[in-house]
Amino acid sequence: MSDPQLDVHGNAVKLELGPDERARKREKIVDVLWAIQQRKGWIDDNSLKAAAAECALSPQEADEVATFYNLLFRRPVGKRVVFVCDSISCELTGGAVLMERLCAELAIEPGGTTADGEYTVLPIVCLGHCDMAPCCLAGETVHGPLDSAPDAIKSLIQRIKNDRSAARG
Amino acid sequence: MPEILFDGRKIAVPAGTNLVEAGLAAGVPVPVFCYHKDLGAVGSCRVCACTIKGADGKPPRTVMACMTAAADGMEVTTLDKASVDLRRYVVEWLMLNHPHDCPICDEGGECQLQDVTIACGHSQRRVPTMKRTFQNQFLGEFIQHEMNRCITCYRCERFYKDYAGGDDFGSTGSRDRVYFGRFEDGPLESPFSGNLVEMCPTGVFTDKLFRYKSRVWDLEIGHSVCPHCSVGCNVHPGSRFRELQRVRVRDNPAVNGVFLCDRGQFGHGYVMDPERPMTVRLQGESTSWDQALGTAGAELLGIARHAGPASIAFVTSARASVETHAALEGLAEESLAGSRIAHFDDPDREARALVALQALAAAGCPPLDQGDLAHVDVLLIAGAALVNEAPLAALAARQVARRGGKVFVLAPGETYLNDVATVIPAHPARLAAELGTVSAKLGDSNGAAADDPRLTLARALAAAKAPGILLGSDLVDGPAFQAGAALAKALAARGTAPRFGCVFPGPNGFGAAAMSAKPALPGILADLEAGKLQAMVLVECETSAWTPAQVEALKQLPLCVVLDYLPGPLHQAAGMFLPTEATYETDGSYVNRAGRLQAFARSRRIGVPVRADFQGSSFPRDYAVEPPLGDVRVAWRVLEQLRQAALGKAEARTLAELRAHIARTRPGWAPLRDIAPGSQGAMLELAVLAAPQGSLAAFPAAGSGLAVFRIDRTLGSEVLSRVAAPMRKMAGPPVALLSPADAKRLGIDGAGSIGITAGNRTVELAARVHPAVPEGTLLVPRDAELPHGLAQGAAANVAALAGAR
Amino acid sequence: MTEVLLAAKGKNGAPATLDEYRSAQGYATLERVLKDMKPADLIPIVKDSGLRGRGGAGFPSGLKWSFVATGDKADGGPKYLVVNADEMEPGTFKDRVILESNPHVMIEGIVLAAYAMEMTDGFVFIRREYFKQADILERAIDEARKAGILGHSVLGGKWSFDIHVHRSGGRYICGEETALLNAFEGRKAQPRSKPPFPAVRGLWGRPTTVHNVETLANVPGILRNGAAWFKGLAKNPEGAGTKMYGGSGSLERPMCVERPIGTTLRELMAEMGGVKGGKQLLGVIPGGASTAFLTPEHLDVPLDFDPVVKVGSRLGTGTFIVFSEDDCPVHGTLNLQRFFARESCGFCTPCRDGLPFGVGILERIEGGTATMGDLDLLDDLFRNIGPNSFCAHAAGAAEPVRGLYQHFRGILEDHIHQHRCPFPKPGAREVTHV
Repeated sequence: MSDPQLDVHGNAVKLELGPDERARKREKIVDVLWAIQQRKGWIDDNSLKAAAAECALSPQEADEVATFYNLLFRRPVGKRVVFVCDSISCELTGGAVLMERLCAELAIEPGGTTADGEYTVLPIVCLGHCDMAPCCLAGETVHGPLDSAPDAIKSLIQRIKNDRSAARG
Repeated sequence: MPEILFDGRKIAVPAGTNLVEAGLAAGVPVPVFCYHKDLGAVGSCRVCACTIKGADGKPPRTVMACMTAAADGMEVTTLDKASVDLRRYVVEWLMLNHPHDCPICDEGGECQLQDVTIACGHSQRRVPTMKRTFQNQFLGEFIQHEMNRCITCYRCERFYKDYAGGDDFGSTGSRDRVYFGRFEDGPLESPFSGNLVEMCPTGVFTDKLFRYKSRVWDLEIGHSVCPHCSVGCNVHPGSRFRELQRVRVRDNPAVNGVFLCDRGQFGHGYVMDPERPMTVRLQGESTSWDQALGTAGAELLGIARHAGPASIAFVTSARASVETHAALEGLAEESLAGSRIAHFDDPDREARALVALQALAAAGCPPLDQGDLAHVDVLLIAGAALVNEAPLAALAARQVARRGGKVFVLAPGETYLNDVATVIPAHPARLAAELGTVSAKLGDSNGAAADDPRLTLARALAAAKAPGILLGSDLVDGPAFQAGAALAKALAARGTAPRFGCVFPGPNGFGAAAMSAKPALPGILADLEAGKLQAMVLVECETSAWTPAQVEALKQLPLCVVLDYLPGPLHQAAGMFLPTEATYETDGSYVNRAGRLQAFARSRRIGVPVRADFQGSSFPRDYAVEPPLGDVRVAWRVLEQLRQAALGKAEARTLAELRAHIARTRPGWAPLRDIAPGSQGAMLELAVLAAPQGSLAAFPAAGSGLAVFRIDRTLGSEVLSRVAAPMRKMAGPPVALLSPADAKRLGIDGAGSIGITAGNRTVELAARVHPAVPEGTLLVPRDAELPHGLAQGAAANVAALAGAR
Repeated sequence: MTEVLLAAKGKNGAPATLDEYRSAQGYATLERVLKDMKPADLIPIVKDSGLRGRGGAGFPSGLKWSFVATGDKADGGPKYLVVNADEMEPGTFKDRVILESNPHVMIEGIVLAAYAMEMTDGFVFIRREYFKQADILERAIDEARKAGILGHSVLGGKWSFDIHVHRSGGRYICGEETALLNAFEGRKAQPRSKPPFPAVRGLWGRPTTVHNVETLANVPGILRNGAAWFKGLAKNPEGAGTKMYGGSGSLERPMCVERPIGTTLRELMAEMGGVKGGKQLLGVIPGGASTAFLTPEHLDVPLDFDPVVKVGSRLGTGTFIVFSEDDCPVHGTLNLQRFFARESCGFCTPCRDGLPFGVGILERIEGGTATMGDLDLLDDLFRNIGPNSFCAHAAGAAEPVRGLYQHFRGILEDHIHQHRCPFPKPGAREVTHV
């Protein structure tokens, strides 16, 4: 971010990159944003600007990508994000009940974050583990098939808590 | 040419024509949202549904008209049930989230969504879902944002990013929550942001200066020409009850098409400026036109008798109309014959314009007008960051690159085309040599790799089918004008059909130069300073290029008559001030930078607007035939009346008579007789136009210090548009540009404050480093103060000031 | 059991390693092809084999290969093979199984296809939620690279080729081939207009072929054993090869198996334990969310492309979703429509705004507040959305609705007459994404 080259309006002058080089830099944007999210949990404005600079994009262009994809967050989330599948195979096997009970156990609404900032629960499209329906994804681990009995929900939360891949940082 | 049957009408259209355009040709306006003739078809809105039956015998199918090319024997209908149903559904879907706030929307009355909604028969909300709500952004002083009205046609983004090259605006989000805006609140950076107003088919982007002022059908609209640069874009100024409220584009395919720059669209604040002088004044006191004209006429005659006509000077400028220039010449006749006439108010710009006209004649090829840029495949822009001097030309240059053509910029300070053009930041003093090198290398086609961009440029020009060369104004010296013309000639000699163009100062710089026989202003100013003048009549002029001694001498003249519509030092200093009408208030004509004559017509009736007059209570209860402060006259008529008073002419000539006179007496001006507002204009006959004499010296070779060049900037430096506060706010303060090497030497890191010293005077200015400024030069916006007497390109001592980082 | 794609087995359910794949004849075909065959020789074999795209559309693969300019017709610049491993179709989990058990079969398929089309680089676009599968794939690619199968000078020959893995930001529309290319380039995954087709202007404007994982995994077998062998694998006369079939939903043992193409639903469901809890079968969605319902009368239809089309649906991804007598098909369709509306990229109006409109009507029907007029409106709505959207996303969304009207009109009307959903299931709730 040490580009002092500004035009008459005080805007940064575009780096003089060839089209190939620009394309190569641009290709990385999702990975760069993901790396930031792995570290910080979400992508704040300053990080977004840094990612944009890294990929030879304007902040606006980077934000267009960041706001398009489901796995990139532009708002703060909890330390562990639990994605509960709400697509058809999980729906038919009790996904809605799972979502409801998990949220009740964590005392949040779907999409919410626990008061201690530990968990955010979000719905997600089919996780491609329909043989394990209903299922959820936390960190890099898919959990399923899940039982929605109170003890099973507690045990699920415990497993997520113990999963190192599920916690950011 | 494929022949098709369109809703029962047989038409032939060029191969590749899409069905929207074919429909227009057949007189069937197919509804569109996302389609735009200049942005092309993307097929996102799906409202242009029609059903086609091909000659191939396949069953009829519903297609998007914008995405389908007319094919021979095709039958198209827009009236079948499938097409009608789909169009109605599309509108219904779009209206699910539209707030339907037409009663308070400025777009109402010229809203494509309104029209198409009515036309497609959608009238009832069948599924009452919640409407989404967006938050709006502050987008600067020009554009008002109302995202809830958005129908997600992507036109704004396609214009802003793809067509105009901006990267600070676009669409975030997805599904039915796509948001068109910026990363964060702030002014839109593109100098073409105003086109969003025109591009948006509904009221998401509206003109902030026009906000809540009028329903559009109440506006009086005339055909006019933008007075803010030499491109000559066509505009539709709209006014109501004597208030000029907005300026919108008028489609002239030969010039600007449907685009305007922000300077042109939002620079009209000077017209309604509260400081604008609207009364006739004699020695500081209000007086009548008859009194003033009588006095001036008598005094001119007296001075001519006693001191000789050579002690009288008439001066106008490149912002005055053709008719004003002609009327000015009419004054130097009979008893006043021998009085002096200058068509420019700036000696440097006068010389520049005259030499540019010589170069156009010398090039021997057709001029490169704005519309011609659409056909150029290799474009060389030399001696200008084009977006500063002729913004719409820069926008058209970008399209050359987007079409797959090549664009080269041989000039310092490029900020707009650098992502699509090969930029060679040539030192202005070296420009002639650079152009000479390119000419010399045109034949150099040996296979060696072209590491030198000049060789690439030469090869591209040599290989081009339709090469174009466009010279700027401020950064081009005499030899460079000649070298540019020589390059065009060399290309023509190689069998291609080049076009060669120049940028001129002001909206009528070409016209003023074509009226001039030779440079006149330096002599007049020298005599003024030497006390040899007794009277001056200054028509729509600035004195910003004059020395303090000249301005002081002006104040001492026995007779100084000033005609203008701008407030300022000249209007204060004048013994006699005669208020004139601005472009949008009058009839007249300009000659654009390529020699295109364009007429404009009045669209605002002058006088205190009703809105100001009734002060918010009700309509005025007192009635008069003439509006208050309504007796302001067009400059050429005032000059004609002065001619009546001084020379005892029976009648002032009419507009038609003036035009006929010029057409008759000046070779090449014949088209002036028949031009009409609202047309495409007509070209002056360059081949027979009398080329003016005069020369322009080379820029000085490198001296001690930095060579200082005055340049324009897109917003903020042009004399009319910079009057109004919103424009000044968007432009920001002037900032000089210097090279990274010089900045390093001066100890400036990125940006700082500099002192420019010439003679015994130092001025202070903000400065920034720019990568495309050559070492040894300093580019200073025209609206920044410089030490007087510093000629264009002359060296000055530049130092970083304390506090600079 | 006919297993071709999954022939190589790893230990204890681990993915087959390079050695394990080699011991099941892996890469022998590649060696022979690179030594003995010219690229142009491969395409006729694949054409003759009858291999059709396994991503859902069933486009003949050999024909697709022939669209890419090769030899003298190519301009000599880079050409790309892109593998679509963005498995996000609801109910679909077959590519995952291939990646988890036998990644090298796909890698060999990629290299063979790339050789046939004279490609310069291969890219696998994989959904990011497949963390473990992407890791497995990267390890396998690394193994292959170390063995000289990938990288500079493939197997010591003149031709160089490598495979790179690109992980998605997550969005269903990335599975659309042109949207995938945009996603790959670091843009929003919005579909591009065709023409130009990817074979002419694809990734970074270069000729590109996009293939599904399973399709490519079929290629080594075809080139090893020939087109006739491949055709002979099928159970139905018009079929060719094996198919990864998955079953989920109200099924006793949801799973994915490789079986001859043309195997019937009855056979597959029997293998998977039948309807959950011994309930009666109401219907199935045969191949992912964007296919129309089939009913018990279709249990003996061969699950192959053409036979399924003949009975009014599509094979799609070949991963079926089972509805029992307790599962409301209106509720299921509402779930699917919420999915489609949420995953719309926002480019064209029918999809972006038409699908939420449909969701609104379905909510009224499922909630018991709809009228008979709403039933007609929903039917008419999707007839207008389906064929008139920019890409196949909304067209896919229209399919289950079409099936709903075709087979379950009575159930729809019950919702209207009874002013409620007659099935015993709690309603789902839609929530907002961050």
